[in-house]
Amino acid sequence: MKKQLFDDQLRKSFEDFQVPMDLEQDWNAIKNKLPKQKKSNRKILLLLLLLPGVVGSFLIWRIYQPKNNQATISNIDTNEQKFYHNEEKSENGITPPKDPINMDVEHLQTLNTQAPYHEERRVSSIELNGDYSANSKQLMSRNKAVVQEDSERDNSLHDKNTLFNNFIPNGANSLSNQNNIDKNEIKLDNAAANVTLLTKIDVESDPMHQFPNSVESSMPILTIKPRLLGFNMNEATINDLTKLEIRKNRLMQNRIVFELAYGFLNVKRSQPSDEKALLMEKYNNGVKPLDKIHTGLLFQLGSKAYNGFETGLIYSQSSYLFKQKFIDTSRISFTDTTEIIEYEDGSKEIKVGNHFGNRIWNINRNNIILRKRLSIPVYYTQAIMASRSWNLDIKWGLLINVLDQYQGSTFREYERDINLVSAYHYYKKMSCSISTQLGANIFYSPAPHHKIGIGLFYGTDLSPRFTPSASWQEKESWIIGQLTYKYKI
Amino acid sequence: MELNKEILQLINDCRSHLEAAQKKLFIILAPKIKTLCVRYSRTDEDAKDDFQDCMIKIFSHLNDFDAQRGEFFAWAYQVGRNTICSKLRKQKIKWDELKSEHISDQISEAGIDRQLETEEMLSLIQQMPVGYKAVLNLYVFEECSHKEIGELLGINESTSRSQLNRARMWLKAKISESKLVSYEKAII
Repeated sequence: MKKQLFDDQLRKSFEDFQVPMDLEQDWNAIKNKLPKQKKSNRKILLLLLLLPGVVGSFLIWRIYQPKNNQATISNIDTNEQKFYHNEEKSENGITPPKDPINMDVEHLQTLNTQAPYHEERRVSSIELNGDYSANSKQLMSRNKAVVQEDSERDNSLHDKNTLFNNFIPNGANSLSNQNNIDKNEIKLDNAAANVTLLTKIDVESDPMHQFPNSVESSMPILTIKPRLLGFNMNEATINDLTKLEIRKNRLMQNRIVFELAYGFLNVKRSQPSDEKALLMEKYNNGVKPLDKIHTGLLFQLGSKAYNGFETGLIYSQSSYLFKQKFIDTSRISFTDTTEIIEYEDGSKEIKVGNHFGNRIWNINRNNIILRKRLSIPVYYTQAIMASRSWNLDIKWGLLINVLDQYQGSTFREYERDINLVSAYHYYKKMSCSISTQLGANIFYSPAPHHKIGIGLFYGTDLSPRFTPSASWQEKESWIIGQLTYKYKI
Repeated sequence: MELNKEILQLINDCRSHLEAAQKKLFIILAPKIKTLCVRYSRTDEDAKDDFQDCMIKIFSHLNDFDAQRGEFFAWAYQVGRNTICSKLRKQKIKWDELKSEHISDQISEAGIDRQLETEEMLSLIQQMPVGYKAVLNLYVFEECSHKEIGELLGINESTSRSQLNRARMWLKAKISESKLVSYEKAII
């Protein structure tokens, strides 16, 4: 009782008590330590907002820019003229080189110094007609100049089987269907007979070129989509707390997200229809199942409303590494290109990166598809299972999502695989995905608005079953490690 | 209601790091927080440091304040108190040593029968051993239970109880001494 009285007296003695203080002085001492409005953030934000527009414009411009084949040909012709100008001089009395092989190498060296590797170059093979040693021939084959026809991909791809028809998988060296040669090649051949033509094909240019035999050429179009990056797993799905937060601030929650994901994708194929059964059998005999290692980068500028609607601009870039039966120790890297080198006598060599071979199957080692997408989707995401987040600390948090998720859009979504001319490029009236996902993310917030997350996700997706373009239906599942940076506006 | 709206607007402006709003909110919060800090500290310098830490913490975590969960000033005060307790926890107070301090039983039964000036009382509280002061402040002024005190300071409930008793006895002894000194001064 006495204790209570003592406490009350003590408490009472401090009622209405305020320490005398100089507010102005205290404020001056503290104001510089308080969180400041960072002006530079605005600039960065502005840049980030402009970035998707600029990137998108550039990509769209690249897609729709006219293919000026003639210009490329004229460039080749210019090189040709330069080269043959020397020959004309020879014919006009200038002493030709004594050693035709050395001369050729000399010319190659000259060309190499004059133009970068990827420029269009051609070399006369007249000098190759003479006798020369095996070593010299090898040297020659390694130093073949290359005609690269970057901008004529479409032409070379107009018939997907062009290359396959021209090459026999077991390496028999004959050019069976001259009509299928690229138009430009024909033009060049007409321009200068007896010219060894070297064609360089970009691995990324078309999936068909990556599977250039009869089996792989019929490989179904893959149904990988940016959502596999798991961007809906890096934050709590709409729940009461999120709604509250969004309502409290604004109706919309705007954010910018960068994601880097790395994961393994497994595809289980369902039983194909009768007409596809043979194809699938051939495919299974030809290559290993599609165990894919998947890496991706995603940029998302989006807004989320409290009612679950989500929209934004998404740019994603994904790569898929296909492990196939014909794997050897070499790998094709992103920067490697595939060159199909055709000699005057009809023989051919394949060069993938720095590796030479005489069989088209050399290409079928590890193939990489690089896929880029630009889309403006509208999603409605609704979690019907569990989504829980904990703040471990003021800066640290843990998020666990277990959800069945329907992502659908009745709005038009445009997707196009950049550089994949013959693959996806269409408007979709409606897109949907149904997936079961399980994910855990650890978040760190170094400053207000900024959030870095690292997480691991497992998911299965039945959506590819609805993809009409697939030769057979696939069920995908994936495990993805994900690094996320999110800026909440 | 209007005041509440004004405060919420002020908080939102502070979330956007507007300096004018920050200053306004600082002026509103400062007296309460400063008083809190002074009670827990030994010197003015310590109080100043604690005050700055508390204010920075409050302003840095305004985004965490949810108006639907409670009143802002209570939230800010709680953030300040937690900041101080967090510092106390890091100080690793040797609670056992505090038990051994000798306090006269006779004096311990005395009450506050003379109204000391609050500044005098504050001065006495400031002089208290850190552990006594922390528990006394939390129990008497923050009206925390022993369980809460235990959680805040990372001690057992029983330790909190014993520390509180000793804090009371210590303070009563000092009050008595103070009275004696005052009396002596008065008769000289």
